[in-house]
Amino acid sequence: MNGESLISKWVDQNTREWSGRISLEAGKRYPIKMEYFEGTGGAVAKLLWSTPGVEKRVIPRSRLYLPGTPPPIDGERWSDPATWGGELPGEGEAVSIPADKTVVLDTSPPPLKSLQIDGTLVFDERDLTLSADWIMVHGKLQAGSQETPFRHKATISLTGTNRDENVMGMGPKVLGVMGGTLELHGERRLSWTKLGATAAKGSTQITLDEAPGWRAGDRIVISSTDYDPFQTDEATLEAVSGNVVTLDRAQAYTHWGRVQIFDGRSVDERAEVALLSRNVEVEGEEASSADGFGGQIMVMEGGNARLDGVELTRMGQKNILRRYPIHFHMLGDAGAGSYLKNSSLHHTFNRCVTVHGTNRLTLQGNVCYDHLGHGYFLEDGAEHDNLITDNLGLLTRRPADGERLLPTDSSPATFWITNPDNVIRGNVAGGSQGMGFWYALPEHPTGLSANTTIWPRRTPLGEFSGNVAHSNDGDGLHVDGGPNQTTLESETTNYRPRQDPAAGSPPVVARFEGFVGYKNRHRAVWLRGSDHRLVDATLADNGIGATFASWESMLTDSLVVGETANRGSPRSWETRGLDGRSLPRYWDEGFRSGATSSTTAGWGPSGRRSSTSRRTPSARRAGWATTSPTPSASTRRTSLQA
Amino acid sequence: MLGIALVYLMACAGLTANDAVAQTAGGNGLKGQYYDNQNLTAHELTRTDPTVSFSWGTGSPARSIDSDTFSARWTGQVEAPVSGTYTFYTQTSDGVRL
Repeated sequence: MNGESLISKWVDQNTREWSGRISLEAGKRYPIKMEYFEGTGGAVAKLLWSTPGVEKRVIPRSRLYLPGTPPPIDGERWSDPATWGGELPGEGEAVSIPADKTVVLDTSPPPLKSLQIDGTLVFDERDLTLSADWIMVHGKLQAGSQETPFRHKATISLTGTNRDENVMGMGPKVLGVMGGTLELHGERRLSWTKLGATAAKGSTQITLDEAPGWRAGDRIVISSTDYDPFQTDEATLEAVSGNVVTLDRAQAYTHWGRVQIFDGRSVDERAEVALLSRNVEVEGEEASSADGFGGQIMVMEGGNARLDGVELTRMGQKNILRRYPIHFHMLGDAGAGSYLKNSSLHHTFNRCVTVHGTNRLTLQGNVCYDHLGHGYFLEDGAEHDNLITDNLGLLTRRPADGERLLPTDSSPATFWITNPDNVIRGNVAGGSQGMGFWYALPEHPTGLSANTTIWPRRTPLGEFSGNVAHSNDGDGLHVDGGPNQTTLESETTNYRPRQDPAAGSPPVVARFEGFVGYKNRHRAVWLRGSDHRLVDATLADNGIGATFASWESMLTDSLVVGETANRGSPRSWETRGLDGRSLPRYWDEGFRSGATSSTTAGWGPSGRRSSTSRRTPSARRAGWATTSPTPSASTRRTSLQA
Repeated sequence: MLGIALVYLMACAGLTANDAVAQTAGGNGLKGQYYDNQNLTAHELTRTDPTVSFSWGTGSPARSIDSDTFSARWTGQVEAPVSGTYTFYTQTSDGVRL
């Protein structure tokens, strides 16, 4: 009862009564769990209660609720004219809910001009659409809760068209949270998984690694498993049977779905398959797609936003600073009160998730599919202690010339990380026109977080473990090229972590652990600085495996594979090589190298592919063992080319 | 006439039949998980039980479960009609935990 043990008699016994006492409040619901076993003989199991005024009896059905049953909502009904002083809000009206009022949204209102919530607005458990040019939350807006997720379909549609409208400094077409609370909790769905078998081009059925619990009508996307980030396939599910799902259209591309073994180690190049649909949705209205002027969620001034199992689409405003699909703005350590989990953000127009001057935020299990510019975006370089785990990003697009908010958006990163002191764990960067993970460290934080006592280029690495980067045009993991303090242009950047980032303090090692990089067109890993360890890495089918433009750095316990059986579907310009391919790049047969405890396999054919950058490794600083005939070239740059 | 008046009153108050149902105390029972062994591991079936008030005698909860050596777990929420100290009783053969 409510986490407390009242009775524990886990023994064989003839029908016996036991009892325990607990104090309860009227109308509140308490979790209850009863466990029972029958050994041999007669089987009896009964649960009763009594209290002064209520005689002893079996607890009736009317007082028992299934797990997950939402609590009753106490408030005035939107559909009751008395809630509004006699007349329901009409189409195009500016509506406000005063601070002392709780309104239950029990009907889909006509499209409103605006909605300001100083009190509380709670979605009733039924299918609902709330549509307004903008919504401002100073109080609370809620659909579902962490304990009892919303079970019907809730849609919040942002409809503003006036680009000059500036709602309390938060711009147009906004769901703003200023000092208030946004609670959106949709049904728990499996956010993404992997293929369980290779899915051939043209097929309409795919096998997943697990039974996803997805349903007919759900929308999904399958990631590229080749060099080209655009080789994704979107579909709507027609049927689901165990881990086999039937699509409404034939796949345009082959997606790899088999784990391969090299020297006893597995190389997992299986495509991710992500669920785009959720039952709680925040969207820019359909017309947003025409010009990339979508909706936006902005959280600031002590606001909290807790989103779990939410779909955001047609969000963000193209080429407009500060107007992102969701933007945690200058919350400082109060970021601990917010999270974004198990959500899908797809077909968005300006980044994906912006973490700006905000610490201790949780981004977990989300999918960002098809966005413009840097995706998961730590803006200034002061952001720290954020927990960024198990997220997937794919189809990170390069904005057109003249539509880039930052110079570096010309090489957009799915994960743009400006301060090392964050936890980046278990994420997948699965297809970018630029980088996968980019540690783009400024000398000091920029913008609103400008602070000359913070040194991102010398700050120890919080955690980078178990991340995967594939199908990126640029590098899978890139540690270099941080923004210049004034121009914000990318500049040569040495990452040299120190115990205390203040100058003169002893160095500490940055361990990039368990990284998997495959089918990165340029290379899997580029590191510049010192004291880097690439530990337990798996690098396969990359243009180049890894380049250490760094001192006192090494590859350890890793596997580097030149080519695997995942041949992919090369685009025409990639087929220049003698065997019909130009990637991975040419490999010099005379070159054999390994790093500590590392193995290599699957080297490509010698002399059959053109190479623009052949480099040989140096054993001196990087800890390489090499049998290469002439370790020449750069003394501090080690490139393991596959 | 009376019926029409009642409908009219409900309409004025913004009430629908749905609301009337929602406003009466209405639980929906507990989730019952049944296991074909004594230690809650060999999961056999899950169902909704309106109450826990079973005398299976020498029978069993379901055809797929043996009449001896089975176990069950009921989970959910319980709502008190009035505030106060409640005594919860179990009557079982055999073991029980609450």
